[in-house]
Amino acid sequence: MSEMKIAVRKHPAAYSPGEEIAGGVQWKLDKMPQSVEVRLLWHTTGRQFEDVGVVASVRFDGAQDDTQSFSFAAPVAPYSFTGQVVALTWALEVVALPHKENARVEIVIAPGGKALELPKV
Amino acid sequence: MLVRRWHLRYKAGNSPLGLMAFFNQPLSARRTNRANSIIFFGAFTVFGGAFFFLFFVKPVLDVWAARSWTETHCSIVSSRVREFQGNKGPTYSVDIVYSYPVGGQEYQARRYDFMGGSSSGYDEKQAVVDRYPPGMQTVCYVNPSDPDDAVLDRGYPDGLKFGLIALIFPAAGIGGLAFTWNRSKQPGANLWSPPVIPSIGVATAGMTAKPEPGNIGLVTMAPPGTTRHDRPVELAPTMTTGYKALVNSLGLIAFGGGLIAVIASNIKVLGTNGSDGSNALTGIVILGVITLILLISTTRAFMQLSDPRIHVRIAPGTVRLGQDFTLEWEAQGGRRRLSGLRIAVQCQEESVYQSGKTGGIAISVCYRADLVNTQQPDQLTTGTLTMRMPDGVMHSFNGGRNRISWKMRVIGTVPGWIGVKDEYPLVILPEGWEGVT
Repeated sequence: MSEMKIAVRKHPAAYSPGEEIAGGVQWKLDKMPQSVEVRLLWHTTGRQFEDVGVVASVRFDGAQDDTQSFSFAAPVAPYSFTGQVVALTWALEVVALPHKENARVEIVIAPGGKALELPKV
Repeated sequence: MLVRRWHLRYKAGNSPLGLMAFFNQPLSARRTNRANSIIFFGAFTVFGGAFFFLFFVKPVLDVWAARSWTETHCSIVSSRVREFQGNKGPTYSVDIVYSYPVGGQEYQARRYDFMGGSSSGYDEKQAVVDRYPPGMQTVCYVNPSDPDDAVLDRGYPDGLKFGLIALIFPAAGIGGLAFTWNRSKQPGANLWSPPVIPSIGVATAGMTAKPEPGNIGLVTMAPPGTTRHDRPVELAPTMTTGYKALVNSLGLIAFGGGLIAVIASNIKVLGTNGSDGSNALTGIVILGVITLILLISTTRAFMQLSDPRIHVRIAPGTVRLGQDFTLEWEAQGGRRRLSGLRIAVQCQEESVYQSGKTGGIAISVCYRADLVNTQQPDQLTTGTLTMRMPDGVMHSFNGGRNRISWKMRVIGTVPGWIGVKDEYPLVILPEGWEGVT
């Protein structure tokens, strides 16, 4: 059975803009992938729909069983936040291509490493 | 060894989502929901367009083509009103069989006009049938290239009016598609999308990869061709006022007037039938509502012409959270009638949703602050204010369906009149943002 893992070094996984996000991925796949990609993305949830934006990625050459490290600079924006009707989270996702086995870990990117909580005024 | 430690962290639940989503769709591969709008408005366009084509365009083209058809003597073989039973009561059609000679050979046809089909309203069909009793000698029109193709009445059919009304559906569909396309190409004026970097290259085994300089991960560089608005900017209201509003209202009157004419003429037809009282009543109600909307919007537009217009400028034109900015305002035209002025800045969450055939935007205001709230005559007409955007709030953001928008609201009180109520979109950038706006 395929297995993929992704994790970051920092605990808790909360970053200020510009801070380095370092981590590693490990995978053991049933099939040989073309490549394995680590993606840094934001993801919104709303009343009904979700939006996704991949802001950076790094691709590793295909190997069926491997361990890799990665590093990104935390983007300036958008901030992680939780509101009354919309929430935005950041995540690091590892995807094996083309079969799309994947795993991800959620992180916070906001000033002071603290996700905003938007009140109802 | 390193990965093993991470694995233990994961097992201990340090990952907030506990995310090991094997065989699920990757989050980063999910579509951003523009497809739903395209399908919805596309269906409107296709089905509405098909209806419009069948019940307006095709009959009109047929009428034009039949102008060159050969006028031929024909005799009525039979004529009757044909009845069709349906879920909502019977419908009727004119069923006239006529024969005519072409090239020494006798042909028969049963097409009365180019609309065809059946509809409610017995009396109008019976009136047609009465005009063509069996045995009557009259003229029909025959397609010179196909003698089987003939018509008794080659004029514009009455049902064309309904086909014209159907134009609303493809028009709405095309408008929706254009709106969806524009929204995906350009974020709203008060929305801001962080740039997306599809890929930063390939790392070989054992290497550590970082975003390239100049990309979103580094805050100091802006891609070529992008600018930040450091200079003062006059804000443009989102709502249309003044002469533009009046022109829009007059355009609405032109369109609505045509619609009223079509509905009114159909009410006249239906009213004479006797069997379509409910349809006539529906038409009268629609006509009344349209007339009322036109009256209100035009009256309002005329009244607003004499309202003061308040011009608002901010410097810099795009403000960052935690940054000082200057607000200037100036009232023009009827400004002496202003008795109160309130200028507020507001941030709100917006989330588009679809529920059945309807949809909307769920809104929650998350920040609001009065910048100006005065009744002092000297401050009503002009003023300048320097203040700092708060930090600890969310910047402008456009994810597509889920957004954070900022706006400035200007409310000017004019006693006994409509007064000023304008909204100006604002772009509020994140702290420290030096790049793309």
